[in-house]
Amino acid sequence: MSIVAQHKALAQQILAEARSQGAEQATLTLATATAFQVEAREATIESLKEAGSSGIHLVLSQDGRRSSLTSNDLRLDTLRTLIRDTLTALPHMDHDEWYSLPELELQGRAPDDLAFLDPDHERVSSEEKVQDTLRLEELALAQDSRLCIEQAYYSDAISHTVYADSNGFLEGVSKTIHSGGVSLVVEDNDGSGENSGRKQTDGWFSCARFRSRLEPLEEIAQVAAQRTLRKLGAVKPRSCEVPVVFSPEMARSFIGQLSSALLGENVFRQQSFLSEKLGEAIANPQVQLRDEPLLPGMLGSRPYDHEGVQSRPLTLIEDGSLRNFMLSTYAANKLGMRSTGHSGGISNLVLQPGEYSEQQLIESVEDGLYLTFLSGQGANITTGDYSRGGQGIWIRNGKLAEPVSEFTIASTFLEMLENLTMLGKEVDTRSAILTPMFRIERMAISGT
Amino acid sequence: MTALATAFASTLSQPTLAAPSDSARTVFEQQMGVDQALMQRVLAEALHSGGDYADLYFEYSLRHSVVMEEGIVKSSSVAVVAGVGVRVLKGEQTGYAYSEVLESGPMRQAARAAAAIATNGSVPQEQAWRFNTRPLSNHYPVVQTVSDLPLTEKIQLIQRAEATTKAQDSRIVRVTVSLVDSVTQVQVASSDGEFLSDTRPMFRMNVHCVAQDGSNLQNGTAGMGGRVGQEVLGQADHPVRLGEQAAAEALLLLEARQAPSGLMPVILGPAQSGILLHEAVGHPLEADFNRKGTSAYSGRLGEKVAAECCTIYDSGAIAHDRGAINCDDEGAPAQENLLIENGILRGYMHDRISARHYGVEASGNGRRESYAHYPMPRMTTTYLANGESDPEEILGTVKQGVYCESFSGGQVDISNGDFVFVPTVAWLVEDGRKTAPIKNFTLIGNGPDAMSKVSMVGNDFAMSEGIWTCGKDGQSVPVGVGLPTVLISEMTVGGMSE
Repeated sequence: MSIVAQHKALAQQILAEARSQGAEQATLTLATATAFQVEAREATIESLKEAGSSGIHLVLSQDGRRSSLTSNDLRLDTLRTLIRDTLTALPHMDHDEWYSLPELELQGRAPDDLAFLDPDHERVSSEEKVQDTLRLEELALAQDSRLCIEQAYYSDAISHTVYADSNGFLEGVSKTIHSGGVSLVVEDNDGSGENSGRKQTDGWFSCARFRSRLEPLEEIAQVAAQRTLRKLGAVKPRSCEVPVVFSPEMARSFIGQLSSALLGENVFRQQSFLSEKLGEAIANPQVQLRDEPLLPGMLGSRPYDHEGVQSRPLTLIEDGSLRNFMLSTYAANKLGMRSTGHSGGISNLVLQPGEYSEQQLIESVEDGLYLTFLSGQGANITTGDYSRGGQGIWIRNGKLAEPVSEFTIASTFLEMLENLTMLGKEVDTRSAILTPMFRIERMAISGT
Repeated sequence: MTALATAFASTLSQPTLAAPSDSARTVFEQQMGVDQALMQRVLAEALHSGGDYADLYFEYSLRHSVVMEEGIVKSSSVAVVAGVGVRVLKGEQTGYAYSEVLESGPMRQAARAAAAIATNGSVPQEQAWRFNTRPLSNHYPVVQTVSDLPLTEKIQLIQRAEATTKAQDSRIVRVTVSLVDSVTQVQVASSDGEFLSDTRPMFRMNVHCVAQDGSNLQNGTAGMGGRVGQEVLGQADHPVRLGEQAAAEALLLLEARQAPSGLMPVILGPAQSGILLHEAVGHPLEADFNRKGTSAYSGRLGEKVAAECCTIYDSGAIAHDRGAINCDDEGAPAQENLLIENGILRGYMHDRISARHYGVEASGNGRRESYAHYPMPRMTTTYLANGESDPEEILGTVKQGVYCESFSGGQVDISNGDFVFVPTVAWLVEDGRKTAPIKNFTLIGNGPDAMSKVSMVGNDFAMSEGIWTCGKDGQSVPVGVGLPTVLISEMTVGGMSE
């Protein structure tokens, strides 16, 4: 019996237990995973970790009242007691008229083959993974004698997740994920005393469902070295307003935060600056943003959402206009709409690429910033305000000049979207947010 | 892939949920059958391929929460986390594995997986020894935990907070109140023969609201908590206090203007501003970064790294604080550690590996998120000692600057020392007075540089309320911060107005 089939049997057993104790409705997620991770430093294995984990999440409801339990102790005795405690709590909850299981006709599994499971996952020995990691460190350090190692790593995991509910939905998915990378450190001491001890770190990693799709070690090493060395000699920039080119990773960060404002949970709570903007122009007409759950091999792909609603592509922003929010059943009920299959949030969020290479985007800027790092919690999706710490490289006359750090960049989400004028053509696939680089016409830099 | 199979096969025996009042030993030994002989067998297995040290970290935690939103008690939840982490050290190398089933077979299997870090030599299989049970000071004695409180009484608390928040102003359009309590039983047994256990209660109450004025929407939050029991609920009317505070914050922000940008003096108000220390000093002084030479403070013990008025500690022994622990997660008792004394770097925060590396005693900072993680040097409660200046006098010295009172969080780049922290409630300072409230900005600085610019330290020390969670390498742990009013003579304020 496959693991998913075992999980399904256990899921049915637990649902039956909940029913026999008197639960009217129930939803259940049951997951197990086995993960391997090696970290290496200075030609030595620093840590080796291998373990399996499991967990169950059960929501019980009755008459619009609900209560939930989570446990990694899967013994039926424990679960029986937790179910009893959860049902005891139920009458103390208030009736929530908006809570329901999904409409039956929306539930189902998309038929597509999403290429989740690497058939070779189990065939690679731990020894080989360790050797790869040590080799990655060696390759990275060989790029430049000034580089020191922070860490090289390799990790992979296989997971099996089943979702079931009292509507009769019962489906499971097995997935693999593989990742490897290296982070480097370099002394950045100009000898003046003020920068005493200052160092710069950066790195690179690759991540894919199939091990064979990981970038070659040589490439990871080269990119990591280049990204670390380019931070040497960083200075604090002057305060000014300039165009900003977002690197692929920073573009991902921005689009990821924007996606929170598109989630039904934040919309109905009036915690999104986009709550009242459906149908309105909110971005430059070039901006096309979609959620694409059915892309084979991509990290966010899924055949159904976290409550069993069948996955379908969804247009969020079309020609700069806000077309849809991402809705779970609950958010849809609150907003008087229908679930879009977004319980659990985004699947693959796709910002449609444009025509420009990285080189062309940089050349387009006479005096401005190439942004490579953002920090802090200063992106406020309720107010739409944006102010974050940054690092990057200054662009002068279309060329990368000196690295810059210890500054903030500020604007608002709406101004940034309006001023998002040029889109890159390469897409970074190392996360569920698939976005190219882009140029924003104007942001406030605060430095000296 | 055996996790499910073993878990499923073991559904027959053993009792169920631990009560909050049980001791760690009762839970693991009497209820789960993990006795000393079994722990010794697992440790022996862990060392069988030549590791030089092994430890077991047992965890059993039971967490409850209840949430009120949109005027109704929306949901409650209960969560159980149980497992044992097996760690094997060989020099500075770590082998790690864990089991979520506290039975001999799965635990010994985890031990064999962790043992793989060492591949040569061997240690006699069945060494017998007696564990040295180390008594610990209890920094959070609690008669009755909040977990013992009946659900109906918890609901009364959140209803009271919700009603208070709403009643403050008709512009408060949404209120969410949550109450979370947990009791975590921790037990550490090592191949050195150490055996320690710790029962860790935790409580947290949070109010979040949204105020609306036309299209202007602003958040307000307030929270409290720590390793406290029911007694804390009688010490003040917390639901009312938090409701008023959250509403006041959101209403104030409705009136706030855009913050200025550029270099200027920054006054950090007492308590929450301790986040400055957490980011600028705390993380870079975690010894793993220094052992590996990746911190801006590496190799600088004994050097001047901050202004003379700065004396900074980290302590896991502050009674009932959110950052308190009786022992760390590798069994070292919590203690107060001097990090910076009058501006001179005196010490790092250590885990077992770094303490051995530096040849010092463990500092009680080896912490982990759960049994599924190996420990690292982490902060507990980090604070700056009281100074001599009157807070009003500090304010009076600033002609043009900003005053920050509360924060949503911060972040640091360990290697170059750049850190940010994000104020939520703040004011412009003009001619020695707080004037207009300001919003939407980030403060950015460089650790050693910012700490050298601390020019005045107030005499109004306060600990922040217990609301902070620190993340590092994907592991979250509860922490505390504290600070008196502090003036930083110059720092970059990243707002949007000219």
